[in-house]
Amino acid sequence: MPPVRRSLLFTPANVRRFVEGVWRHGADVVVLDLEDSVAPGEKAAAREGVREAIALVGRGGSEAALRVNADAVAADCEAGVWPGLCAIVLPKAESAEQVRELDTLLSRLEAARSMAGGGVEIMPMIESAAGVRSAYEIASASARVRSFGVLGEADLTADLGIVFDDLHETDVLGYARGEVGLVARALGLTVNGRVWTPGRSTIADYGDAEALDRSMQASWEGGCRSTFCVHPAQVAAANRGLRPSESDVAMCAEAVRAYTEAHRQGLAYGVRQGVIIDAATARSALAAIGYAMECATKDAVKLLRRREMERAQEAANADSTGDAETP
Amino acid sequence: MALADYLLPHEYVAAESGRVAVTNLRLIHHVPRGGAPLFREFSYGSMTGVRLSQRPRVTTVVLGALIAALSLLAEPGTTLQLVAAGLGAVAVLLGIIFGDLALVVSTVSDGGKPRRLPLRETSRREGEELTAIALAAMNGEYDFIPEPPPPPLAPPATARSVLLLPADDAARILETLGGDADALCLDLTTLVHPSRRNAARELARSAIAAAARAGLPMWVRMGLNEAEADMAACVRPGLSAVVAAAESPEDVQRLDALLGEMEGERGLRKRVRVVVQVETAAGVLALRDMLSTTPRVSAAIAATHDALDLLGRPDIRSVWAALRPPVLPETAHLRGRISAAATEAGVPVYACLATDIASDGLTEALGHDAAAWLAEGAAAARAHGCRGVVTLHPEAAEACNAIFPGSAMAVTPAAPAPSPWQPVVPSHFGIGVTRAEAAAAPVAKTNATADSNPTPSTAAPAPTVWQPVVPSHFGIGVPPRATGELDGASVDATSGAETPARGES
Repeated sequence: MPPVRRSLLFTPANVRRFVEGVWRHGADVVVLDLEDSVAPGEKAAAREGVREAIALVGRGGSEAALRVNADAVAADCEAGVWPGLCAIVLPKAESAEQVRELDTLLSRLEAARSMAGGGVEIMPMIESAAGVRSAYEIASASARVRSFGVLGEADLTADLGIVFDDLHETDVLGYARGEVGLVARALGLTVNGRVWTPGRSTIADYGDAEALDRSMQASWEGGCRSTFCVHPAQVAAANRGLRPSESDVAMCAEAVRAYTEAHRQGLAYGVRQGVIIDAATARSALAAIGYAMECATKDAVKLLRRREMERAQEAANADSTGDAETP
Repeated sequence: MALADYLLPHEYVAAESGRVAVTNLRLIHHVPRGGAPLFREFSYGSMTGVRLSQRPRVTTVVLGALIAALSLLAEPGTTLQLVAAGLGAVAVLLGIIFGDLALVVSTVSDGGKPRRLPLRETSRREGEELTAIALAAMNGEYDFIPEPPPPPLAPPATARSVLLLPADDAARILETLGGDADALCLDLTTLVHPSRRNAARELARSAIAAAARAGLPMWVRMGLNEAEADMAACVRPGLSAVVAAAESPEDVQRLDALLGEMEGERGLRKRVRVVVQVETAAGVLALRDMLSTTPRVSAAIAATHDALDLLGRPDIRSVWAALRPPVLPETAHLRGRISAAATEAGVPVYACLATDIASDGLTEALGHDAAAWLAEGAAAARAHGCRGVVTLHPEAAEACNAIFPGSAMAVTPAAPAPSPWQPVVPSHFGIGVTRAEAAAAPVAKTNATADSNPTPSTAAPAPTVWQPVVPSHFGIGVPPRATGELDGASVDATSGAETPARGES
């Protein structure tokens, strides 16, 4: 069962206010960003804060990941690979070599910093035509690539000479999305990213709540398990949509029951509402039920951690108020 | 049913006389009995002896004796008495000399009671020659026709509808033998409970023989892990293709090698095809390589409907048929991939239509518009470039036959020129049926029933299939034909490959 990582919320690693407050948003993963959210002149300073930031962003039960700069992978990893980090997001992935080099670097850092070997995942982002063309090689270059499919939509449209806003009307990235998703499936990786839906629901558009929910729903049905977010509204929609709903779980349970009963009677498959439930379908249904339980557990853990944090902060506030009143 | 219809696709008659035929596989006695002719067959392996027998013709002898006896009533010494006595004696003599000929066949299972097969209207010389051939065949010494080089494979042909059936469901198999589908596909995988696989294999064996007699192309879907056992049961005359959910060229190579071994062991001339079912992402990615692994691969089945497997959907809501369109839009990329790979390899693609709906669940799953849904699905499959569909539902077969082009004959490329190798059938049994003639009969029948693409009545065997040519000076020559537009059809009918339309009785 893959870990539950429905929402991957970008947070600029150099903005202390964001790093300290991001635990409130309930993201499954907080991605500390050293790339596009950080101005070139602030990269060095941002690196210095990453180690502490990993602990800060995880206070609400989120995992921490780090997006590095494609042209400064070594420096970024040196600064950011510390216990508590779950993944490196590798932007502009275009070759297997990039992934292999990162793999070697991570192995060295893990060994040096008392981290479990192979624990840090690599999440390559496909953001160029060259990346799409080499998708299979990139995704199969390292065992650390455990989820795949994310398109850097803005950069990819730019590389392909497509107008980004056309995504509101047409799936202009359909080929890239299909090919990358297919590679992820073929290699048995968890599929990241989103299925295209019409409307303002791209990574940059989060004002239309309905479109956002529709996008998450379609993405779930299309097999996607996680998506990048740049706003808390997207986090809530992803956590809500990228998981089996209650009715899904009920249907799955019914399907498992239909198959089990049929199997017990010596039949090859069960039938539910006229539809064949064979062993493969029953297995998928069981997996969906299992994943729903994982999601519920993850949400419960995050809720508890957030409440703890809130209580601690309330106590701290009360203390500071009391201290102020005492004199 | 004529003898030609009784023959298996690769079987041909080497010699025939007085309703007894010696084929390359067995000895057949054919007794026409009105509408229900009787066929007795003896495999050479089971025969322990064969000889020619001649018994006095009882009616002639009795008649002669009667005339001779009546002559005694006439006045002794008169001309009448002499003539009658002479006639009677001659009749008795003729009845003894030209008695009834029969082939007497002993088998391992006849308990010492040989079977007597009357040879009607056969001269003693013809009877002796037939006996000699049967005896040589029994001893494995008769060189029927020199073993030809491996026949070139037929160009891929298509069936508009392939009806998928659980191989352990005898009732449905019997029912569908006379149905609308252009081809049948027996399933030995998910539609059969593991505990019934052996029984299903046994039934498949019989079903393949029955389909061959009905002129119906038969495929068998098998699991890669059980391919050897499944092939052991199913690779026999009449099997057109093996369907498997392969995921790599190595999978296809293994199927090819297994088939080659079994064809060799069993002396099958017609090569069984491989149809690759694509139902996983790995299969889609590797399809291009798989299709070019061996010329045996004749088609791909795109199971893109099966979003669970192919898209890895974690939920199953979309599986409830009533909630989804016949073709899922999100499978467009996969369809494009499959279509491109198949086009490059020159093989047809079949779509799956309602293969996840139980055979009696159409109305429950789709409501009362099931027929429209199926027609829409078939139309969409055609629009996406598929040449036919695989389905669990006879209703869908009907819809497909109406929507897809009538046959593959018009779309398959012309086959290569016939092999220069041209064996000669001994023709001194003037009434012998050549393999080509035997093969031609079902072809003509098949074409005659291909309603949406009527074929000229000049249908003849395909040049791609090995066929003997009888020198014309024997008067029954079969001229080699030029490469023509009917290649696909002829090949299908004679070699058992996929046929767009099938013969009906």
